[in-house]
Amino acid sequence: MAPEQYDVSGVIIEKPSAASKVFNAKNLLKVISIVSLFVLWALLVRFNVYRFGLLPTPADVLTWGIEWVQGKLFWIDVAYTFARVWGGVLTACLIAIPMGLMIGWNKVFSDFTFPMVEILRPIPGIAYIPVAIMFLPWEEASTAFICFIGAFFPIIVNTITGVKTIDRSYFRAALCLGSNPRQIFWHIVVPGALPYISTGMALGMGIGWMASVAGEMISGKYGLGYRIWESYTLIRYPLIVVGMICIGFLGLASSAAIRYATKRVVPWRKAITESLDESITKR
Amino acid sequence: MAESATQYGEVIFKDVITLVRLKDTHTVILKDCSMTVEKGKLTVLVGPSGCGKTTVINLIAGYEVPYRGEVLMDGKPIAGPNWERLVVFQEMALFPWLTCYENVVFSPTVRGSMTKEEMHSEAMRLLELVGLKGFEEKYPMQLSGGMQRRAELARALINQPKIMLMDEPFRGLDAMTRELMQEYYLKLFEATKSTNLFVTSEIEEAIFLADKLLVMTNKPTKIKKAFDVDLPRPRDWKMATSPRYRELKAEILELLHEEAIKASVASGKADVDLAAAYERIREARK
Amino acid sequence: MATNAQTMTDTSDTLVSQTAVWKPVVKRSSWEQLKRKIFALATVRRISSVLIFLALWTVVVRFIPNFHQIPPPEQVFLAIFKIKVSVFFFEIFRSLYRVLSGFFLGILIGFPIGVAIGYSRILNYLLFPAVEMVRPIPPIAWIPLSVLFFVNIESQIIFLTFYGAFFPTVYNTVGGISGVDIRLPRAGMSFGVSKAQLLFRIILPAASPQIFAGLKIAIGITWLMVVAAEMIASKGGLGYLIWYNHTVMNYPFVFVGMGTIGVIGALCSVGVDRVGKRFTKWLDIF
Repeated sequence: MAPEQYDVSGVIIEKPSAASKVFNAKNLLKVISIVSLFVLWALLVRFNVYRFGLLPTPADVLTWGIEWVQGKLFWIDVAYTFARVWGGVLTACLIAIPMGLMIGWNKVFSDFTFPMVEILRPIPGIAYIPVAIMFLPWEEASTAFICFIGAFFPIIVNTITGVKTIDRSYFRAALCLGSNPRQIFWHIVVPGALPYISTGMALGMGIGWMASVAGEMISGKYGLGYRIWESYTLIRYPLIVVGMICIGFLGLASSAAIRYATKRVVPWRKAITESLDESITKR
Repeated sequence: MAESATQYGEVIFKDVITLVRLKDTHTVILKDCSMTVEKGKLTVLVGPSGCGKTTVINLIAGYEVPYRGEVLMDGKPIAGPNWERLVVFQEMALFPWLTCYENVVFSPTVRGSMTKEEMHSEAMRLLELVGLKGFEEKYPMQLSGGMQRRAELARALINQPKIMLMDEPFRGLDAMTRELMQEYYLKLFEATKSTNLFVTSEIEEAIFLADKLLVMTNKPTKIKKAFDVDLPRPRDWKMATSPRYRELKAEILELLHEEAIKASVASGKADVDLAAAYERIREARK
Repeated sequence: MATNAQTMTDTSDTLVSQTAVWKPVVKRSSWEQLKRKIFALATVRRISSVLIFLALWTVVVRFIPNFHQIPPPEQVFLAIFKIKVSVFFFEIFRSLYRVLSGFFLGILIGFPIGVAIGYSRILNYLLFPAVEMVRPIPPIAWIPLSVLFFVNIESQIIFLTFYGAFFPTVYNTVGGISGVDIRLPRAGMSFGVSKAQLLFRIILPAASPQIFAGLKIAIGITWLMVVAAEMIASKGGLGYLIWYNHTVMNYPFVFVGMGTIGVIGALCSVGVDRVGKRFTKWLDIF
């Protein structure tokens, strides 16, 4: 399997074969990394190091997991948690993004609203659990509310930053070209803040998933977080880990989905990074 | 000090080829590039942007290795970064968390090559030489662009390197500061007479500073032509009107213009005749 | 005070007018300036922001049936005075002790791992994938496992706080180190640094702004984890206080507790921020 060669501007260069791109030392180390994590886990439990014997082994988790995922209850759980998280996070987007845009845009509005946002921001979503129970007797809403609070502040802060970091020259250019403030808002502020807004939304989604576990510990009969708590009380320990992995995975997938969706809306961001690559090779 | 400096610092490139790998594509930057940087002289590299001038600097400094070919200094291949080959960069590379003074004494401190007293006296002498006396305790962010460059010069000079590599150091400075810095730099060179390699895209700067001037082609780059700039030293901006200067400038401009045309043809950029396009629009409007 | 440049611009304060209107600079005495600040429209608006919020709160609690259980602001305010100060502060210190233990433990373990991953290619490939695999699992989801694993409730809580601090520390350390401008370590190598000196004298100082930003995030998450763990584990601390008062329907105090959590969380963040600024004072001397 002789390495391919190709000609670049008259220089013969050896091209790495497709096989060597997959089977190389770098990937080997990465695989070792992941495998040794599981191996370490299995060994610690097997040899009952400290109190690891109480935890489920990777094998247990896998078998329980496969069985569980095939059951109806699992998909009901996923649906419930999904609905709560996405419901809470999307509501947060619907309120935080317009609010953030207005705060960044208009000083009067900012003075009337931002202080309260700043005061409430340090209070973690978890602390709202009692409040949620107080005024939202309906279980779904209370978890969704915790997700909402968790996602709200990152989104609004990022939106405000997004507006504030728009280069002032754009406003001057628009004024020269004869725009009125409304046009400037819709055509400069909103698109200009979009990169930060999308970052905030992805962040908020991640935090929303985290918050869902907290929310589901208080309420309901369904949901991945709830299942984790239940598995603990019912001494079905492997399911705890199954639930943890599922939440982690779905959280990642949701954040990635948001980033993908917003990439299509913010195409110029990609163009900027592409030309950056070019300029790096030129130098 | 002046005598020993001129003995060293000769750099020879032999058929050097360098590549840049970006994911799956390779770009050849230097190809069959051979040149000599003579010791004790100020050699200037001029060329269009992106033609690999920084690559040359990186190769000599030891930050990059050539794909093929050899880079030798004083007969030995360059093995890596070393205090003998110091670079002054385009944008500030002073360590921002250290004061000016701490930056200047950084290398002797780290290498342990001088005693504390020697370091202090030498650093103060150099700082005064570059005109930064009184600014020792300032942080780089507090200095202006020109002052930062001067501090970088002092930081390099304290080591008495065998070759000083200047990578478009005065780019981005305003015209006044730039002129002053050029005169400054020349005075330093004429005092130390060490080997210097100066990279620039400004022709006037190149002619003003150089003993030897090398013009580079576009990518894949090699040396197009070498000039001996025999204007008398010490240099003076009044020489800018001398016939020899104007000769050199005309010739270099033509060479670079050739390269620019080749580059735009190669990259396939559309040749837009603006005047004709404007006429068409006006006709359409009528 | 009625007709002057300041109030004129305040009435039409969109971003547009902020860029387009010229504000004249007028010299005033410091007492005048203070008076201006206090009576400035902006400050009045900000205070009324809080007042409007409180008013809305009262209205909502009165008139919307779902919200009847929530106490109105006056009750919450009065509850502040009914606190048993000694108990309250004891629990606060308990929570703080846990926060700080977890935080420093997280840094102790997370920081070296972050440096290893950022600095060495091999360790990067060996450690980073495993870290990445564990990261998506929310810290709160670890509570059942930690209850299972740790006999001592205190250890449970400290493990969870450690976990909260660990990932932001690792990530921002890696990010800071890999984001260092490559010219700085190159310059360092030219100046003759040893491998250890390269890390401690160049890479870490250059990465410190981002590392401290990571620490600021870490303490926020740590605080969050303490509150969550305490609400569940019921062994003292601020989180436990809130939950307990919730179960005995002492709702005004729940709100006082929430407010306290917010205040202390903010203070912790500011504290870390200040420490960070002390180490990176070279950054914002403009």
